[in-house]
Amino acid sequence: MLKILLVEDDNEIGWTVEDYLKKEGYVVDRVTDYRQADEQLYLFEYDVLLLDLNLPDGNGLDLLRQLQDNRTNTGVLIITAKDALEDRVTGLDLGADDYLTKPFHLAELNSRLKAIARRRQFGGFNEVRWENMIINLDTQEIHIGKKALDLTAKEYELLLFFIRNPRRVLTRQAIAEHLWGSHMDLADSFDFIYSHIKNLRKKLKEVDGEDYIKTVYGMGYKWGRG
Amino acid sequence: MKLLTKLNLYYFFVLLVAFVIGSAIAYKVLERAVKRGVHRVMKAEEDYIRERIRDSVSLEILNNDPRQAIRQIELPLDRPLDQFDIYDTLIYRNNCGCTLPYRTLDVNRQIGSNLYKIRLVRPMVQTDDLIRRTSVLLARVALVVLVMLLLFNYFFSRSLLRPFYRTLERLKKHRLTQNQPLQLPKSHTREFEELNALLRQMTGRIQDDYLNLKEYTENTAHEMQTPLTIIKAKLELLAEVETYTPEQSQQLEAAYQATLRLSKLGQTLGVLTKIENQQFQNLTPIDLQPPLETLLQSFEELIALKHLQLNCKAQRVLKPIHPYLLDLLLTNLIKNSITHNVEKGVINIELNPQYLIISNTGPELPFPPERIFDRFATSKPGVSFGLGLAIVQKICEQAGWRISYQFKGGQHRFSVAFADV
Repeated sequence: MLKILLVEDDNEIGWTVEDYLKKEGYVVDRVTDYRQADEQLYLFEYDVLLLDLNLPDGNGLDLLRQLQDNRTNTGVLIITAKDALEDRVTGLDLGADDYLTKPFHLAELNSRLKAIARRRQFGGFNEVRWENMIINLDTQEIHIGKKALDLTAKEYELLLFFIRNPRRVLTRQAIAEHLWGSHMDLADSFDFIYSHIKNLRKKLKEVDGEDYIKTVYGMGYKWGRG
Repeated sequence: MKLLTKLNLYYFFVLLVAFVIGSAIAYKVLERAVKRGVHRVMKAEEDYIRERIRDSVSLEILNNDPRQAIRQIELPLDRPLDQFDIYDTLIYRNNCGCTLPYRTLDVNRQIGSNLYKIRLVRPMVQTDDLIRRTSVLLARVALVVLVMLLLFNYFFSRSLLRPFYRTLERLKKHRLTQNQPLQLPKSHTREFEELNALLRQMTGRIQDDYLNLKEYTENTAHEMQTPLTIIKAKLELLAEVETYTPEQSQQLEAAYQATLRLSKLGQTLGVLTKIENQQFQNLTPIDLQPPLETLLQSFEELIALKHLQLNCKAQRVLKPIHPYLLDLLLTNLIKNSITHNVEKGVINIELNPQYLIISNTGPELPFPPERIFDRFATSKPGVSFGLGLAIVQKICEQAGWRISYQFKGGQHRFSVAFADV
């Protein structure tokens, strides 16, 4: 089970994220300022640190420097409202694994968190499973039972995004941003998501005979059986 | 025109006018003085002639002198007695075969009981010559003075204005974003010292304002994004509930879309402000071709979705621009050419050291073309904010490039002219 330290000064965001992650099955400790975060990192070991850079009593970047000095194996995902380029570069230079700008989609956060955790865990299987589906993250091969599923690069990413967020509603915006980055805010891209989803559904049905992708009216899609 | 050149030109004109007026006055004064001298001499000679007549020297002897003519006259007189009439005449001279100017004095006199008309003639050549020579001399002196003044003025003004030019140079190099106070050289001239003090004060204030604004922008972005993150996350969680009626779902979706729009708007305006504040500075040239091709690849699918035909001719082009701004510029232009295109349309992109041209097929603008770079000018309200091209223009402005728009033959054409051509 993944242990996560969430450092977020805004209580409402902190609570929402904490709740979401707990439901995903993580162990989450939440602190609201630099001092507490420093203490927690000293006392316990975490798999992933979710860090808001803008803290009331200090800069999150200093925490990163400390982590780097201690050579711990904690993965770091920075969350910030500051879309300042320098901060991003400094953060990644200081050993952060990824960077997420507010406002983010919870599914996106979850997806990136899983990716970081996988990268950071030694000896872990480089595969993701869902029921009888096995996705090998190194070779990007997908098997359902004994049958192979052949997907394009975008379909693969889409499937992985679903698998990492099962039973969650993935809004079209979240999917668009996940697949094409945040500058892809075109209304056209929704048509595009639709065509990708359609293809993915078709391929899944051909191999497994079952459609796992459910349409959530007006909002987006959801992965799950039945 | 440079200040010094202007100053010297003014000096020159003033001196020229002063010289022309001065020499005219000098000429007049001299002329009058010389004439007065001649008149005095002529009158004295006339006195002498009268004396000779009184001494009974015959008129014949007196008239031997060709420069005078005396004859007896009868009443009535053509002019009152003792009144001088002095005038210029031209007289033909046999010895030179030319006419020469002469000064003539006519006067009627009563000597004893007889009336005489006395006429004296004096050549004027010498006096005219004198006046002319004097004027030429005067002109030469004036010319020397003029040249001296100009030289003096040129060299001294130059050293006098040096602090001003140095201030100007420093101002040109001053960048607000470098966050350094303006360093101005000391001057012993009061006006320049005042100017420098004022400039230091002013740039200091501007610097403060700039930093405040920058901070404000960042804070606003931060403060706005936090509640938006909450709203967004909550709405996403609400979407998990499976028991909604279609109306409720619709309302939820509307709220979600509006939140996304607001958050996007905040981010975009933030970027625009940052560009205006010149927070992206980069003077090392980068190659524009690779980012362009990378971007086109990421748009490949969208282009294919609309069945657009993309023609791209890109050369290696090195230009100094911040990579983030370049990415923004290209993204917005390409996105624009896709969004406002028609099904099975065309996109043409050309990149060479002089121009970047992106043109695409598409319906004509619903608003005047000169408004195309204005904020919130959009042909698809509700879909796009109309900020993309405003950002593009700001970036071009900052890079010193010129962007222009044309609609011709059913094609929208944006061309960016790089400055150093």
